[in-house]
Amino acid sequence: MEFSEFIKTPKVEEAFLEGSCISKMIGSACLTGHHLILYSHSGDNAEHWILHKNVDAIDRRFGNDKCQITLKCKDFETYCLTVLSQEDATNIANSIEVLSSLDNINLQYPFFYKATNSLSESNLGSIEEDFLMISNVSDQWRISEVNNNFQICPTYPQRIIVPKSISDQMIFKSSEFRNLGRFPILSYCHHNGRVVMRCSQPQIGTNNRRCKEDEKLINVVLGSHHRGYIMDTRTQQIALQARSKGGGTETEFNYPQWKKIHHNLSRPSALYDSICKLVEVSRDKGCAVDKWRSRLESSNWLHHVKEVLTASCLVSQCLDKEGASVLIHCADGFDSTLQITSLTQIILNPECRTLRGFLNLVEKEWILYGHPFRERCARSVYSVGKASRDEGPTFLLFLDCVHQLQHQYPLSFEFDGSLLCQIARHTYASQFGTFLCNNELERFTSRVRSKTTSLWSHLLSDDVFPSYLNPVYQPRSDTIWPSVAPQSLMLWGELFTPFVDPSAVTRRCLRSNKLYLHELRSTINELSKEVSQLEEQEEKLKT
Amino acid sequence: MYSQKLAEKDIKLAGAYEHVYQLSPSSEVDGLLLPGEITVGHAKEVISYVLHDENRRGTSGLLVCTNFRLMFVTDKPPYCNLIAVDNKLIGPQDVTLSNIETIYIEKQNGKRKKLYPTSRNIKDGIQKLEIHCKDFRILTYSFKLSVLGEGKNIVRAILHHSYPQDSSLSFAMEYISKKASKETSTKEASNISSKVVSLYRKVDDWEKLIMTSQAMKGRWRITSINETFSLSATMPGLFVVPSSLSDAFLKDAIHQYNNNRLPIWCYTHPNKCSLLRSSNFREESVQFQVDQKIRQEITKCDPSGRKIRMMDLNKMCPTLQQVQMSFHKLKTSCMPANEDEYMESDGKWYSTLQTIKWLQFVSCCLEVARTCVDHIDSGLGTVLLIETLGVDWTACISCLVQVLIDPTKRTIDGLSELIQREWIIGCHPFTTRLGILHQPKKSSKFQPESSTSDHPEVCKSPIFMVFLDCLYQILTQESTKVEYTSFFLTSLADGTRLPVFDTFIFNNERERNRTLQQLNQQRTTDIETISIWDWDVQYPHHVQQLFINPLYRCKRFHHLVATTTPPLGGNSIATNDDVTSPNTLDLTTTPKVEKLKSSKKSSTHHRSASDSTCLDTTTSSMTSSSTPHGHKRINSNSYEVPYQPPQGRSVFYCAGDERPDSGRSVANSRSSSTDNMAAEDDEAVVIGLVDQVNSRAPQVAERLRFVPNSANNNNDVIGCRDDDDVMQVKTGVQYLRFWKFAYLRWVSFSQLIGGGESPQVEQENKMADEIVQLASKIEHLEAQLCNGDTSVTSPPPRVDDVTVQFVSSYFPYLAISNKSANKSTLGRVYNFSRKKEGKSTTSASAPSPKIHHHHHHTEGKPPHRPAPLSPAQVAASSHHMVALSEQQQTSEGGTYNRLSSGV
Repeated sequence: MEFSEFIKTPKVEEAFLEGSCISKMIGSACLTGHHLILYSHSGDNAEHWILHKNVDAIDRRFGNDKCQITLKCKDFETYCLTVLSQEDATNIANSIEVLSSLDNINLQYPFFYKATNSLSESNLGSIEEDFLMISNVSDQWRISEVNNNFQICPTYPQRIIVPKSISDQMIFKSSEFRNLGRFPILSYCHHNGRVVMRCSQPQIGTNNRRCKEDEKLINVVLGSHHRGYIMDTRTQQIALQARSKGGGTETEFNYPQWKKIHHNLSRPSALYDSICKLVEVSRDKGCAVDKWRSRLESSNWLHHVKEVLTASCLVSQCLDKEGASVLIHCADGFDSTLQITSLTQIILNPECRTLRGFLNLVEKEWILYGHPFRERCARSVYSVGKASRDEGPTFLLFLDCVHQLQHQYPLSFEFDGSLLCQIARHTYASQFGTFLCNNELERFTSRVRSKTTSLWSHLLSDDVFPSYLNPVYQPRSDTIWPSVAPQSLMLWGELFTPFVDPSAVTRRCLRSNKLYLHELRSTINELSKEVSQLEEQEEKLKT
Repeated sequence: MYSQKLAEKDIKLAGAYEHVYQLSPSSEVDGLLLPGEITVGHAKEVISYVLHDENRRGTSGLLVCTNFRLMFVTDKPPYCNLIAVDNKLIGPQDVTLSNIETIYIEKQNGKRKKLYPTSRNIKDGIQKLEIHCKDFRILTYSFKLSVLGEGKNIVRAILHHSYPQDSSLSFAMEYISKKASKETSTKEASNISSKVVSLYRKVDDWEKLIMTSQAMKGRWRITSINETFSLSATMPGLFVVPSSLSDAFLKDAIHQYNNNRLPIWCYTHPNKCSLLRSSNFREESVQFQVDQKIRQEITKCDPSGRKIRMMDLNKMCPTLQQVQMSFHKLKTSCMPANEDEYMESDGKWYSTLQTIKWLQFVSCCLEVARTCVDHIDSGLGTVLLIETLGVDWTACISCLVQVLIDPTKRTIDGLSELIQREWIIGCHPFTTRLGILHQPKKSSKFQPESSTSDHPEVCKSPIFMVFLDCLYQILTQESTKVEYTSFFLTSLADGTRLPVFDTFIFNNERERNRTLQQLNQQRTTDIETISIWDWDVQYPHHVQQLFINPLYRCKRFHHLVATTTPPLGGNSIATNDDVTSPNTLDLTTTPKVEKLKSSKKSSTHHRSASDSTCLDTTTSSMTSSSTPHGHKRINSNSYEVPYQPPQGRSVFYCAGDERPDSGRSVANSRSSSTDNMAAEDDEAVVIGLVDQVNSRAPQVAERLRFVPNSANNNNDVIGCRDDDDVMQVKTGVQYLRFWKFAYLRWVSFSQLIGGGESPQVEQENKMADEIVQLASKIEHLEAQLCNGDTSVTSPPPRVDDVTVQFVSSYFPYLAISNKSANKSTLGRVYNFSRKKEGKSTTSASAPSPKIHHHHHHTEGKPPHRPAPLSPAQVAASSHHMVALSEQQQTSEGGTYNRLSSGV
């Protein structure tokens, strides 16, 4: 298939582009298979590229003398393209509409994008590295090949870490008992040996099925005396109702060593409604002074942030203070479950607050363990009405929680907020293949990893990563307990209201301070050299 | 950087208190008293509870009431909620009587009663004393261990002394008269910094102000018609008026205005537009020509004859009552009785904030100020601020306008002088507005008939707090452009409740003058008052360092960064308002696009001419007669550069990350606009700025003394000049931040250990220190190279390696020291052990424990549990997670509060 068959008007000479984050541009607009490109006619050779994939909705407003196409993007930006001819405008709009919703994975931009300089493999999410870390704490684990060729669980990677005393056969049984085959699997091992595990709901159903192997599998991580907690991120009522659909939740009778906690976290579709309202408020520059805060509140987004943080704190405390292991699941085990497991690690593990550690965490928790990015990020806030229940900013909510932590502990993170923003934008539209597909199986079949460039490689490359470093980073070895009081939670300005973000000025200044420090140090080195040379000369003269 | 001092202080404090406590109370407290301070009551064996801890933990000690403060003295180190700020005047556990807002007592039968200044009938058997402070602190004391009657006595004493009715009874009078005789020798030494801040009571200060401005020369003059305050109580003794108005005319005109306030000059921009403030013209006056004439003359002060714009602040700003109401609500929501109450505000916090309206008022003030700034800066004409009394919003707005428009007012000294001139000399009825004096019903000073507190003349209304909040908003938005910090602002707010200084204890200058005259008549020697700007009286040197914004401090050196070094990372952006998201660059990674240029270049050309004018004024007004290092003075003909209003939005260059080419373009345009302003001119700019900081308190000067040699061969020093722009402050309510540091600083459970703004400032300070250190090292080495003199010793290396991990987000207020950084007691929302306690007490409905005053848990030990638990309770508490899920089952909606506060 050729892209050209969709492109009726490849180039318009007179076009005008406006956007909230760019300066107005006059020039010629070009349409390619993946981009709308505007070349400025003025002397400065400016260009602006908009990825079709990033376009969420298109508004057409055709007048007599000019035609406006408003491109509403998934990263919440809007652009307004003005051309003179109505025919051109219609063609462009139609082309973008078709090209932005191409489903075929092989036609996605990442498969065409070639990084300008060859990037080295980031090697994030490596199971060997992970296993090495765990071996330092506990010798109860082994690497298993039971999921080779994704035979028991398509949303888990092929090689996994399982308890030593559990045979592959038992794991197979357990995976049959769990929804989508997502059996309880290790997520994080705390330094005291307690673990966080994640899974999906047990398929108890109406006839109260139980699975000895599943019980054995999770009991074995507790050891002999310990108790554990099972956190279900649904209300008890919903969890029990799920039995009629073949799901359910663990009964305390069958899992006597475990205590149940129900902490209700919203499903992706609820988050979707919330973020739509939030973006509406935050992009509304003309909002009445008196209404703004209550409108923000009624979007409920910060409430979701708080709930997720609360749940993560709870789990962190179970691990750190109570010394108990925790098993977390929701219905499918790849939405709110992953939010909690990853935030818990950020709270507890200083390693996850480094740049590499954080990217590793995202790769490990979200990419490898099957958060369905393709479904969740297919549409964004502007395509209201079209969204199905599969869409929802689960991952974005996680990033917002990290932002809250970062805001509360500005010294404890090696990276700064712009990294989170960058990642957030790349989940919706990107030249990198990292967030393509729903799970490892899909990536495997489409050969995403070999054919596309990884965002991590880009972010970790030598000329990119320094710009994301937090200049006031002070590594600290302990936990960071976030405050979930409403007074402590902030709207994520850099993402939601990028046109005004005071912290950006501060950050820029800090960064330049850092640069300045480097500069001074090198000057000092040079001067010290000179001094010592001079001294040598003097010595020679004397002798 | 200062947290190590904390630890030391801890020990010192402990020592001091031990010494005191071993002796019997009352007379031996004298060692801790200030000059002029006398004990008026005390109670022994009083328990002081930890803030917001539901009275579970406390320390026993001696509670002393003096004519200045309520003092809590104990031999045990205060283990919790330690106030790090090392105030020479009040201890960490003390509270000044002026700070006391309301007093509650609790009887043995549990009845809680609010006491009024007029309350007489105080009986024995007071169990608990709860004091709500004006700075939102809550102090709770219990007398259950004291001798019967002591509680009553001290409460009576507090009540009697807490609500003074006359400024002349203020402690400041006692203090200064005693202090003057006691410490004449030390006074001189400590007086250095106060001399830096002009108090505007002498004609020199005013002359310095108007003579240095070229735009004012010959058009404005200083008049002394009100020197004895006989014409007007609220007008300053000296003020600036158009030169063409005669004294005789003014004397006549003054009574045609409300509150006897003429329009007085506040500020003149280099483009010759001015800012003035005044009260309303009297409605009943028939001499309209007076008002007209004055306006005409003001118009004539502007050579271009632009029309005056009248800003009626009565219509544009909220009323005094509205502000008072709003502040009251703010106070209520920021003084939760316990953690649960704090957490309950959850979910409705934003709408609460909205109904409080405080931020809306702040936004409104900033908006009015911005309107004025736009008007003046774009050269549309002079602005005259008008208000009924002319002492409230006019002061606030005029200050804000000047801060936004004039970079010299953004330094600590500049701001201090501004506040002194507009608020103190220009008059703001501090005692009335802040409720420092108790205004009994008679309030004869004002209108005898009206007893309603709604009348603007006797209305309580914290306009000054609105002003400080506005300054805070400016700080958050433009943190690199202002020298002050949040701590400076809260110190000012606290200073209003510290009756040691003459700054905030009078309603106007006449009152001050008369009080001092009376005082001087009684005594033989002349009394010298102390102003708040004399920070040495209050804070030791290292605390004063916290006033200085590190980002502002190290910006001074940014021109040192060689422009050849590209900014870190490929895609940082040159201009401030060019917010091209990095993403657009990233998504389109082709070499061509990476070069995306700032399209704002054209507007920089417009800006530069006006920049140089502003800057030159700054330079010469700040440059003292001698210029160090032998650089040329800037030539004064640069004033003749015609002012060009900036077109469109001005472009700022953020220090350090500008690109070589954009910076150069400014330099080029500068040299094209004026031939003689080339590289040497840029040097002069640097000198000017250094001088400016040299004139500051000596310690700062010391830090910034270094004049970079490398700047000589570096034409691009324009990195400094984002300072010299008019600040574009966002006024929308969405952009304003809640000033947690001021309003929530005593709410211990809202603090974060190692998080929040304060540790970041600490870290920035470290970086700034390092920059200063390295810069001086370079200078030193270069000097060595030039002179070939190797005998010069190098500067001492820094000894400073303190982790900021344990600094509270409210540092230096609710700071905990390294020692007591006990994670199980502070700084978190989740606390398993706390839940157990709470649960045990509630489930057993146990009465409040009897013995807790003994339990000062020491380092390492877990916090004490108030009551021994029964085995059943222990079992219950260890299974509290179960209980939790049960709770969730029962009430799905309300679980969070319990959960977040407890678990």
